[in-house]
Amino acid sequence: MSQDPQATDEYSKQAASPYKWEMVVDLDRCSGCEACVVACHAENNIRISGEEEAAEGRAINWIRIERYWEGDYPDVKVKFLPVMCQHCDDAPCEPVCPVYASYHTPEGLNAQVYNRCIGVRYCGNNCPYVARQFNWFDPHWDEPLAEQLNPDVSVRSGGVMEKCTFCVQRIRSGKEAAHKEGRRVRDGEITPACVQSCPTSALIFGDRNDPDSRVSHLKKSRRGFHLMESLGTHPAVTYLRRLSE
Amino acid sequence: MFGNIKGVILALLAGSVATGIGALYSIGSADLPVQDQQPLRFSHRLHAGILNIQCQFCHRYATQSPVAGVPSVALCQTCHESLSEATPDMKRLQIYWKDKRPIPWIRLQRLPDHVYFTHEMHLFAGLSCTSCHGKVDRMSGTPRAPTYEMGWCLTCHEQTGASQDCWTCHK
Amino acid sequence: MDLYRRTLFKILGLTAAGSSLPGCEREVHNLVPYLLPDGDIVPGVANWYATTCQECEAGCGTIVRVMEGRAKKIEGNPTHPVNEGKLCARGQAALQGLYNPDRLQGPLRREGKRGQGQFRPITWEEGLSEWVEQIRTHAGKSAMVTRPVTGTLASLLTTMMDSLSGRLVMYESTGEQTLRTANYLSYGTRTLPHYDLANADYLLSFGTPFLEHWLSPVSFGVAYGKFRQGRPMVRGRFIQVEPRLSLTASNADRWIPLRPGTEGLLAMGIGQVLLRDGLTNLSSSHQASFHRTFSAISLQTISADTEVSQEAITQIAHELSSASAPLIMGGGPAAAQTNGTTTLILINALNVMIGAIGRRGGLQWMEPQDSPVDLANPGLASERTLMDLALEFEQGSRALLHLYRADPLFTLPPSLKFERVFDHAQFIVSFSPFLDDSTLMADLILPDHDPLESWGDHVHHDTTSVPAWSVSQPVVRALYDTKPIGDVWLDVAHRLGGALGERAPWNTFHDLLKSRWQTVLTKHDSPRSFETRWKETLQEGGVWPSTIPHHQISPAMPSVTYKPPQFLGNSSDYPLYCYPYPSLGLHDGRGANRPWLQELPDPLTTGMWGSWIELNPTTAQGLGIHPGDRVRVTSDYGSIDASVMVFPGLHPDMIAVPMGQGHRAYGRYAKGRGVNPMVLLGPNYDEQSGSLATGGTRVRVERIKGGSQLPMLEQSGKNPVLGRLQETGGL
Repeated sequence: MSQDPQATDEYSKQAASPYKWEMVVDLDRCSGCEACVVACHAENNIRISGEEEAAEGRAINWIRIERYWEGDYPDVKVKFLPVMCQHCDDAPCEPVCPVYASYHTPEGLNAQVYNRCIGVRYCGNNCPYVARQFNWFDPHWDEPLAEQLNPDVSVRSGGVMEKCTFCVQRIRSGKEAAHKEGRRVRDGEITPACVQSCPTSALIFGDRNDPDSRVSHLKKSRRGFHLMESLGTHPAVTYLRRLSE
Repeated sequence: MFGNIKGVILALLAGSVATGIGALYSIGSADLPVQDQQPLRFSHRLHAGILNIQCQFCHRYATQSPVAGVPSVALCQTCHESLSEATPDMKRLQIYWKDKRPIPWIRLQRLPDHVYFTHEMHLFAGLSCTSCHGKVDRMSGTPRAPTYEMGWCLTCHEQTGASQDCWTCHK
Repeated sequence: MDLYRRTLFKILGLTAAGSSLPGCEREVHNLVPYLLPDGDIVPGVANWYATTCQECEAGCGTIVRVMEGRAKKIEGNPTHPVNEGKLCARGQAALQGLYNPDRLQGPLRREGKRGQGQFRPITWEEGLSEWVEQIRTHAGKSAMVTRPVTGTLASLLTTMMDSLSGRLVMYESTGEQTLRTANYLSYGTRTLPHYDLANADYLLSFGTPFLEHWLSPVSFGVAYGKFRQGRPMVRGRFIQVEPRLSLTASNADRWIPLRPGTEGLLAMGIGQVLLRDGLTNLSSSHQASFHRTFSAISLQTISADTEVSQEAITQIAHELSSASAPLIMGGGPAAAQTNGTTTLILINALNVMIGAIGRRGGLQWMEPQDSPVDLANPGLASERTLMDLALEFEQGSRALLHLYRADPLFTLPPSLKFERVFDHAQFIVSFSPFLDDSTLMADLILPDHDPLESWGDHVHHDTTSVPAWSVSQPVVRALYDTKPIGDVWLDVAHRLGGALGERAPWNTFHDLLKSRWQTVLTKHDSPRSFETRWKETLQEGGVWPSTIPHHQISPAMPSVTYKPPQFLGNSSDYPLYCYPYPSLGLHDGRGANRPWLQELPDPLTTGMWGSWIELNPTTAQGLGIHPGDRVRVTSDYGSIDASVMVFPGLHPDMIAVPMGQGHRAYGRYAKGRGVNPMVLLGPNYDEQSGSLATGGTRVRVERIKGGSQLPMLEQSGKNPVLGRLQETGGL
């Protein structure tokens, strides 16, 4: 195997990236109120699927609240689990994309480049978290609902896979503001829409490369775990266990 | 007999595929020059070249926004109010002003929806307007911009050490 | 979007079929320069404007992201004391009210029969002059039914209706009238306290859906996060007592189901143990009076009637006494019974026994403060008050009905026969921006601006820790030929002239608003000019002091006799209790025309875009009903058909149905979708507050033919989104 000097360069450049974006979900705070779900729809131009498409299981949610029942009446319990793209460091969706539409950014984000995507859906099939969703048709908004669309986010047309981006448009503008002032992004300066809206502050977002960020601190919590840890996907989302009796 | 029908079907299929590919190639070149006809003739050569007005006097948001902005009629008027020389186009400008109507300029610089581009950060990085837009001060008409292709962007990003990560520019 | 590869596939696929490209892509071909440059607006850069959310009565402070004149996103105002920068699902969906495709775009006059839904567009001049004509014709016979409003609009509407000798009725189906009545009897005030959840370490909640829609849900959400994980070494413990495992209950450490309507009895049991074991903070002189009330029924009977074990009751009492800052809350479904007020008085007395009154981590009332606007709030009406109004229309003492953002024909059970008002009204004017079920019956529609296009203010007098007065400002220009209700009333006052005209000297509602705020903003010894202060207020979203002294409350001794709940319908024909609950997204139905909220999966059932009937698995099995089966629910008053969701967290003697669907009108997303459970309810009231006992009707369930799959996020077999994560074990 010949050594490609450029590839090494590329690798070292990536490793030198100043930021590594991660999220923490505190299940002891999450109340399942779904404020994050609507916040995400509003921010990211997520289509309105409608009753028929929703019945086909084609409704698109970049973040969803999973609910688990435990036990039988009257000793029944419910647990909520907000699930979004886990932005895995070893993401199963990335190597299967034939056109490199799904790839890892130097800042640890699992990215989908919509204009590259040809819609083979291998990535969605390979994602254990069902975080990737497919646009079976072109989206439609009854006028004038489209006036609300966020110009910072592409409208995905039919035939494209889409997923949570950790609100990359917000990361981008946060980095730009910091860059213009010649400093690093401050902890808490960038908040994805879900994190911003969460009434109980169950979602926390930040830079893991900053040892003093809240994400760095919370990741070390004894309550911390990752979804499907055994798969070795190394997610960038850390969950904190809900405490119970 | 059957061979004939097969032939017809094949021909039809081939025809439709050819139409498809033809239609594909015509996308992007669908913008005919007639669409570039601005509501009034404006000369960058006169304004930016001969009169030496700085780009950002008119495109005043370039340093603070992703978009550079086109001047408002009021901004045109700050100079044109005191000018007596009345060409047909200047008269047209006065009509817009009197009617309090904005000028419906045709967009000539286009990027697709999946591209994020910001004037603000490019100027902050020290680029000059002409690096991308060319010698506008020598163009008398308002010319259609060259297609901004990704390879062209990347060449510069590569040379200047700017980010080449897809998500820097794709949204 | 000009996406090369995909376009290739699309065209190859389509040309053979001879069709052309779908035209969904909206390419911007024109540049839109501003005629006059606005110093504040930079194209491509967002502006944020502070305003106040009006999706419910909590009035959270919001900031709205506006780009090139369009509202893009609503977030909580980070400095606002009510919601501290956070916002719920409904608040964020307010954008789909503004840009709703079914908004009324101008004044309308009815054509054809009432309720047929035929209207013709008219000019504002035509509309206003006809309305003035009607006010003159029906002098002294006006009435107005409105959603609760506060601040300047409340005082304007009060003044107007006073001057017309009219009657102003503010109605909210989840207005907690029973709680206000009980608090008046217990604490001497109808003002609801601030529940200091953030600083409590033990919460016992009797049915309050405080994480869903109760009083000020975002404020409670913020406090709940702090209650659980906001303090080092302290994690608040939370017990919810409720017959159904609601979203709120599902967050509790322990959910205690009980027989519907016996919450007061359980409170009595807990109080009894507190007194018996000497665990109260009461002086010995007070103990006797509490003893009389709380020891009327034996613990054994209480346990049998509530279905809560004596051990559990004793345990709760002991946990309450060993906690350092326990808090008890009651309301919502616990009060939606014929004995609601009694139940809440008993719960209030428990708070007195544990010393929660005025305590940090307990209940706090703020000192009444000077308000920038008259606090001329007539108070909320109970359903019984609405029945009085109906009688006045029947008797002819009222003839002209005004409707403002209230939809009583949808939110009230038909068994109350509120349609009498509409049958007897000589003329009906609606200011609703949508053709809702009640506005469908209007003769004249004078649509209001959307809240995001309007001026206004909001006085927070309930449940907040500090008094806050918020302002609303137009964040976008009005989309259509609508007029703000305040402007319309002022215009009519001028047309009518006389005393009314004198009482309304302002040209616009904005002038009135500013004049009210001027008195306050300049009174508070500010050296700066009013215009400066006003601008600051608009930028900040309102005014609120950082801290205020708390108001001392002297609770009354409880002297109530527990009464068991009364249900309509006999238990042999109707063996199940009906339990309608406000949907998380749609609430009482007002959110049903917003597609984001329709497509928001219910967190517990994961249902979307429709209605369902919840049944306990054992009950369903007993009736031979399977999940997804279609059933008919029948009461003495009506019936509804919907499919069944088996719901493990439900008392076996109950059915539960979400409210919010089953509209006859209200636009394309709401109309004809699902069923309205109010159809089932009978006219059963809580005696003391006059509130409808929404949990006071019995029903039966039977399987019927047919069945249609309700869209669900959780789809067994088809698209197993949920369930795959079960293996994590980390939950």
